Amino acid sequence: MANLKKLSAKKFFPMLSDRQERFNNAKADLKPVSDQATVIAKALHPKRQYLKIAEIKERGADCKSFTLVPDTEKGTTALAWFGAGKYLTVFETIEGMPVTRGYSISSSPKESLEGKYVLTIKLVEGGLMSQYIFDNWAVGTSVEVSAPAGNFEYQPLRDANKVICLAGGSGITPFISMAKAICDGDEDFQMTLLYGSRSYDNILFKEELDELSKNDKIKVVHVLSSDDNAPEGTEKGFITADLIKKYAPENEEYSVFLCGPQQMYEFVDKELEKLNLPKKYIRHEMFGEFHNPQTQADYPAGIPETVKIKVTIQDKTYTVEGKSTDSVVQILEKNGIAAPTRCRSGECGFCHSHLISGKIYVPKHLEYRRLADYKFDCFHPCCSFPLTDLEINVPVAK
Amino acid sequence: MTFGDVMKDIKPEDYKKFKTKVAKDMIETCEKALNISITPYIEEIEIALPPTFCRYLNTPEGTPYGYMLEKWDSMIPRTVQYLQDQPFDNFYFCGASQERGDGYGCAYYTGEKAGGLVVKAIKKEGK
Repeated sequence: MANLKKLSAKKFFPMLSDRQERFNNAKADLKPVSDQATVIAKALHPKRQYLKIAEIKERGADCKSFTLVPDTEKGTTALAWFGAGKYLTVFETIEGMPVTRGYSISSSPKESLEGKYVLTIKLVEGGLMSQYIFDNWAVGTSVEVSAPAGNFEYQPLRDANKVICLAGGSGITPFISMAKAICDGDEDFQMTLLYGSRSYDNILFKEELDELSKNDKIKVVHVLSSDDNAPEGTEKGFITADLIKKYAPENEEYSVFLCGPQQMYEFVDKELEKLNLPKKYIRHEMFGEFHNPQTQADYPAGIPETVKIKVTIQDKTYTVEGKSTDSVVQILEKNGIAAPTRCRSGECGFCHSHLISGKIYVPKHLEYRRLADYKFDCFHPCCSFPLTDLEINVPVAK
Repeated sequence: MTFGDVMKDIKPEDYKKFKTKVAKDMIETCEKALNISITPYIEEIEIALPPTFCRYLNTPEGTPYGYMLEKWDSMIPRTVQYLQDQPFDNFYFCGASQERGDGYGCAYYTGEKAGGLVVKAIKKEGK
């Protein structure tokens, strides 16, 4: 009590004048923060990377590899390093629509330090972005992309050291990057790649795979679905449970990584069930934007063809109209409204938004909402399809 | 890790391996100290090191707790001079890194305080 009586507010007064004096004398030019943690964060996660196309390699009639280098005139002087398996989101404006798509990087992490990314893109029939890219991307074209993103990576604390990689068609791209990373010493695991193609002549990256499989840690098996003249050493048919078992290690744990088209996942996931692997050992790369929700068995009947969406982004509100079979993000984009997107598969959470009113449909395999999302009416516009008119709040596109 | 020099020689391209090693060491230390097995049960893992906090919170040197207060600029002088610190009329500071230093609780408090002052100013203007 005696000590409390000694306390006096007067003791604080000099502190106030000292503070004011320090403020008055402070320099306006703050020193930029340059500690190593900040340097690493900025180098690995730039908001945007401005690139130029340096080279285009044709891979058959409907697939091309684009080599991208920094566009120094636009401010990108070095490329962000990445863990093998990641993708880049490409930003384009197509007929006034802001459009984004993610494409796996097929070059190695090491090559990014040498100033080079490679994106290998297959032309999708009726695909908006791939058609635009095939029509417009030429050597010298400027391309705007995100930092490398995604979770389709080998993680030694979680995954088994032996990994059976299952690829279909252009789903080979992240595995090319992983195989190169193994050769460069950036990754350390035993890779057995079962690569499904239609025929021997259809195999993408054939020469590169032959070269990569010289490494003791990499084994490549081509699985050809419709080639009667397949050479020795290849497998005929589809990637089945029996085939996986044939190449999997005996009495040892192994992980399975999958990347390919939706139809491949539907088939292979059923095969994998037969193997009773722990769930943590099965990892899928996202296959990008989902179309035609009305083909799903659980899609409700009697949904109107068109819907209205009232969307608020920061302090602006728009009311737009679109097809109920388009995702919410597609409807916004088709009306010239940019929404924040990365994976376009519901996984990354970048487009996480608020559903104020209305009903949506989310395909089961793209359901990444958490309990808190249900409780607070949050959803992912990139993989949600409107069943009624909606009112939503969407964050600003970054 | 934030204020030591353990990060100083880590290059961006070494960071992935480095953070996995840090996590591995921590998990193994826990397994040993508690005499339990953790590693085989890891189903998902996200590792946050100082660059993670730089990336998401933009805090100096990646500290998860934000800026450290100095005595001359601590809570009491900040509270006393709160209105004096306004750069112009009808502008009120709130959020983390404010009057009471960093943290959720401080952000809530200053948000409520700033909101109250705004409402008070609006009412005064309306009279």
